[in-house]
Amino acid sequence: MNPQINKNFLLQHLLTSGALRDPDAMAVVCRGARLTYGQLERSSDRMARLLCEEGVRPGDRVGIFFPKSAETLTAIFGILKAGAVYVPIDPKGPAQRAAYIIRDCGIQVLLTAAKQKSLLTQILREAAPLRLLLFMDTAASMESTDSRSGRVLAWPEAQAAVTEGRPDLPTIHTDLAYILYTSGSTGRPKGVMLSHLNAMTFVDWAVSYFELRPKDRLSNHAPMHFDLSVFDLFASFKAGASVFPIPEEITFFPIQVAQFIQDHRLTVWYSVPSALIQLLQHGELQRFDLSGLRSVLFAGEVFPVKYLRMLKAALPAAKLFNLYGPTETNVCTVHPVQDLAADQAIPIGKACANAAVVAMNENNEPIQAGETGELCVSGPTVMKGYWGHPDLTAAVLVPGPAEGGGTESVYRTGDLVTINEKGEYLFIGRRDHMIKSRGFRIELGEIEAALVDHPGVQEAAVVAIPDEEAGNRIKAVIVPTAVATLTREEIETHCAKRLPRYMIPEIIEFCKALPRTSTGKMDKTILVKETVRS
Amino acid sequence: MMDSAIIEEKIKTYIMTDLARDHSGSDLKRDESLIDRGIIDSLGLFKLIAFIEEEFGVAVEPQEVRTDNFETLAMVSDLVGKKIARKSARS
Repeated sequence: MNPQINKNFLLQHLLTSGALRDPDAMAVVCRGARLTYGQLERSSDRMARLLCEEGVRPGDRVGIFFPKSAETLTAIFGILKAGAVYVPIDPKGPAQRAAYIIRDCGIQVLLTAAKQKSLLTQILREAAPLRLLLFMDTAASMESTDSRSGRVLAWPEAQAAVTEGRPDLPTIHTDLAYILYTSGSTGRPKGVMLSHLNAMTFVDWAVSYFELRPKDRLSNHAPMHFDLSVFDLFASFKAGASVFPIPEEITFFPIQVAQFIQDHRLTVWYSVPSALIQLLQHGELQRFDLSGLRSVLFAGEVFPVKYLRMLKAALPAAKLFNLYGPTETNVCTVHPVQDLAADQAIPIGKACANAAVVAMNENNEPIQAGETGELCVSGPTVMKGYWGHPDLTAAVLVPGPAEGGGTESVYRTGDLVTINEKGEYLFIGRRDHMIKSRGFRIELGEIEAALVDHPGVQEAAVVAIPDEEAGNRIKAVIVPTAVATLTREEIETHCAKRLPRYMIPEIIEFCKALPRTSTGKMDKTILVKETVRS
Repeated sequence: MMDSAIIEEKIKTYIMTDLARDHSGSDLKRDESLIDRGIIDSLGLFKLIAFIEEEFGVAVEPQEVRTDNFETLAMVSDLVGKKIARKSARS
């Protein structure tokens, strides 16, 4: 037996093992391009070699900033093979947020594409200078190449020039593999640091629990900067299966998504519930043959039972699974959906293998059936912390008691749950101001901070209005300064430069003062229910 | 019968005032991708369809909700123009 087959500590070993087993098996199909395990193994070797030759050292952060393509996999595995850490950045911007991420985790090497040029120009104005800008498609020469972009290379040419052979680096499984940026309540996104071990623990469980096989064909609906993609990519490679990244622009068109599932004969689907709800409402599913789907997984927000029933009816042969877990813990609980008799929300279920999950009440004791408590997670799936913010890390990753008088880190999710007589957890709500809208995780404080950043805004409050289809819609109530005359357009434009589109308030109201409770605290319940008169 | 230039202008005005969130950007070109510009996402798309149905009194069929009808302002205007023509031919 080839000794390399036994090595499965690092995420890139999953590709290498797959390529040794069956180099001709299809690894990824995207936008008409396809790469086999063997081809991807070689192209990612070349990528790793190039990065090393360009001075990338183990532990360096390398940004991925281009729309989904088959080369996304070359980028991810190449970065990992170089011992580096991949940081996916939303290719749609906004530029300010991308520039912040680049500065925050010290990205010096950015992988991009010609399409990103106008955003890149804005980003380079605000980010720290780069050392290397690598275009994955073509050399789209940055005009008068800004000195801040560093060296500019095009992958199609550059890969021909690299020397053969894979770099041999001393990476171990507790080293960082990737950083995913998520909304931060203080107004800045925070980088969740995940190691090879964190991801691999989840991937090992997922492949065996969902019985993934080489003949499986997995969807990749989530963007790469969203943690659902970790399942799509790495569980697929662990199983020797194929992954089908859905081009971003198609995801807005339910009929084309249905067509995509049918044409590629997908067998396993994973997305946020809102994507499935869109598919059910506008996807004309009766016109398509989706019988290949054997498992449909969803996570990220509550799936209303009404739509879940529609999903069961539309896909009678598919098994449905509700997965739960913040980015900080990977998936840590699962619930196989069986009967939907009662009009009750489905549970988030029980702990996955190798994740310790317990809900603690206010006295820090595990809750009994019927009680409410905060869900706490420990074990190897839990993140290493927030990049560059030990203070934020310490607030959520707390030492907990362990056997023999030792301690271990416990992640406090901020999610309030209860437990039923079967020992399944049920999600109740948040203990803070984090919300989900269309599956996106949003800290209302980040939006408030962006609003107050406007010179004409004296005070601002942002609330979430519950909505069955979207989960929540965002409403902002703004008190302008005495001299300012603000318009909705002006506020939207201001937000669009700072926040991703899904965080820009849908409803914007102006008033002279925010409603307060008798104790002087802002009365958010009034803001949710009523239009505030100015 | 409505002039295609008027149709396009009406749709453009709606897109720029109600759908676009960044109002400081450059003018919208007729062949520019509404998706890349961040104007069409799952929410924007269905708002635009509701506007078209209400403003022009035509129905957008589910099977017409595709990138080849909604990628650019020109494609959307073309779809609406054809629908209006078909409607007036019938009446």
